[in-house]
Amino acid sequence: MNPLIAEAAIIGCKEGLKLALVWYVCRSFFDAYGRPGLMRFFYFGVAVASGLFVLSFFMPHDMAARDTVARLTGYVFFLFFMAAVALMYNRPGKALSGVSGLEPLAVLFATALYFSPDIVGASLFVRELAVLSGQVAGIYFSGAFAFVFLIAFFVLLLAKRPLKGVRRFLGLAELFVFLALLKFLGSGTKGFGEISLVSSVQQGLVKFVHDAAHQSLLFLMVPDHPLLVTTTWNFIGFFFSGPFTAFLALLILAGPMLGYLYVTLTGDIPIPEGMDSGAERRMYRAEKRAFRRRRSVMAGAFALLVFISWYSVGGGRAGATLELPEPRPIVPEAGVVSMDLSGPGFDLMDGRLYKFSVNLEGETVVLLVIRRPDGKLAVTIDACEICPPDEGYGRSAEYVVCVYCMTPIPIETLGMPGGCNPIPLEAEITDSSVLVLMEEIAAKWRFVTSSKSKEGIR
Amino acid sequence: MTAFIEIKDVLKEYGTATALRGVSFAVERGQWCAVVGASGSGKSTMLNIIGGLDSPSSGCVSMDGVDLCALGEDPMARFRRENVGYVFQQSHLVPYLTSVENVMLAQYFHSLTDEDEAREALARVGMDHRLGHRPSQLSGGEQQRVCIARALINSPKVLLADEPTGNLDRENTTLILGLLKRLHTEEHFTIIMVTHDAYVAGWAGRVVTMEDGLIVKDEPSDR
Ligand SMILES: Nc1ncnc2c1ncn2[C@@H]1O[C@H](COP(=O)(O)OP(=O)(O)O)[C@@H](O)[C@H]1O
Ligand SMILES: [Mg+2]
Repeated sequence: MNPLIAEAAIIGCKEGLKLALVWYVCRSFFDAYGRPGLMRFFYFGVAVASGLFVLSFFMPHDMAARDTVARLTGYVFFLFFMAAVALMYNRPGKALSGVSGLEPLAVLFATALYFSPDIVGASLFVRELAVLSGQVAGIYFSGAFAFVFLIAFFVLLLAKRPLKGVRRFLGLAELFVFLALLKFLGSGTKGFGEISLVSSVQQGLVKFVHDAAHQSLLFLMVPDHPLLVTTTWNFIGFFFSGPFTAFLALLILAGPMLGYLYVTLTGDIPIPEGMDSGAERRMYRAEKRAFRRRRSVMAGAFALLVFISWYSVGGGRAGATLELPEPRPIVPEAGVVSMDLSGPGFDLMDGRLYKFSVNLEGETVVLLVIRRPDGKLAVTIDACEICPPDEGYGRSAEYVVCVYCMTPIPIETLGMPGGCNPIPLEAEITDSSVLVLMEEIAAKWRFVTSSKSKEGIR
Repeated sequence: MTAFIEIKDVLKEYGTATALRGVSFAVERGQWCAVVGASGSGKSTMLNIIGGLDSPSSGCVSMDGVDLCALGEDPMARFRRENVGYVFQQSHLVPYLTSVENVMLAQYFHSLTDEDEAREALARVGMDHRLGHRPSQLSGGEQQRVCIARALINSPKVLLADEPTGNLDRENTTLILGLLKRLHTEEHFTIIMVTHDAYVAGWAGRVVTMEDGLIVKDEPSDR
């Protein structure tokens, strides 16, 4: 079978499974709390998300669009995650008991919010598969849809009756933990290759910490003092180095869950007035404790799965070793740098990091070439606009990493300008080589030299 | 209005042998009732059926308004745990656990352990000087007092005792009976006590006599 169609089918499976699971748990939950009528608003929410799915056909399906959807997925995940944490630490106590007019709206809104980015992201991804293969998108959508319905059908078949014991394990907080967990595990935006959100969370953090540091430095006008800049950067660099953000991501995701486990499992159980006999008090405490344990299962599962998924994407080892290739010197001919696409022992399209050095009016400029996950070749200067250009970038699993400040840059974002990204170069890629004009290199090198005040003070 | 403990037309057959032949019997809350009769007359069988340790071949048993025969296995075990305390002739203490630990074991099967409470319970039966002793280091009377502490630790509604003084000398027998009397008069415990000893039966407020699987006499004690 065409592997791309298989991938579309897998996407379909994933989305179908997610939909069916959430449907089943929500239905059982509303049933258990005596509010089966709220299910109607769940369906309205799904309808809204489906509407967005149709609209997604008219969206562009370029990197930027996918990036936006991916970011939205991340935000929605965080919203659910934060809601879960807020509910866990601040129990309203009477979840779903009152007849509040806002509940139907909340269910509708939450459902639409929950499914929209996933559905739209999956749609964009499936369309991209079609584009990659040069075939009609319909084939891929049929493949994906067949599996959405197949999975949904099977789950519904198995799930005729509502889940038993929902109330024992799920309060409103735990329901949100479940939703966040499912989203975390099943909302990766790069298809099968990235199912869990853990690396997205980490990337988001890197960007956030990095931007926050930049903004505050600009605000404090620190760059005016070269010495301060360097020490500051040496200090801050640690905070957006791979290992640090990896642990930060883990801490942010698993920390509240572990804290909750600690508080609930070790917390005092106040005994109500009027329980005279020791047996009665012990029974009360035993039941309360059992209840707390059951209600902690979801948080424990969340922490555990976050840890597993974090570890499996290399969280524990991020940034451990950097691939640092030696630049291959080239001499420009007639103002054009020409790099062979392949040669003895190398192939620019193999996904590894390649560096080339050219002489520009007495200075050595290093160029960086790497194939991105989308198959396109990124050609950049081996330096950014911020850090000193001496060391450039190395490569770890999914990132190129600035050797100076240890910021990991997702490889798929190479070629985009700005920030810590290496400065992109316009290049012409022919059948056998990559061509870059010396003029272009000189023009872009100026961005590097303009911040050269940092050079030589380290 | 049914009585606190009530058995009605209870028949118990073991294969071809019949241990109880249609026994009806009721005990009010706070009563101390002795069941006497010859060996093999069905006393233990009746006590076990009242306490839910055994089920009748036919007839019904109820306690505090709960029909025990209608309970499944798990709810039955739970009901027993929370409502019935047993004392047997053989102490059934765990030999390698201390007095306190034996009492705490009963707490554990009920809900949670609470060592202070277990110590207190042993103090109430006059065993505070033997908290860390194992059963083998205790006399028969002391073992039986640990058993009473263990039977009472989960605040049962009724105490069932099958020959609680069976293998004790007169002095220890009097001590144990004194304990039961205190429970009965001060804490208004409901007690059903099986014995073959007329002296022991004389401590109870009511004496029921069994013969060959039937109740043949039921009268207030002459005490
Ligand atoms: N598990 C059993 N299997 C067979 N027969 C039993 C069993 N338990 C008791 N019996 C019989 O039932 C009758 C009553 O026994 P029991 O209630 O132990 O008498 P008691 O306690 O008054 O000495 C006796 O004849 C005894 O042999
Ligand atoms: Mg007997």
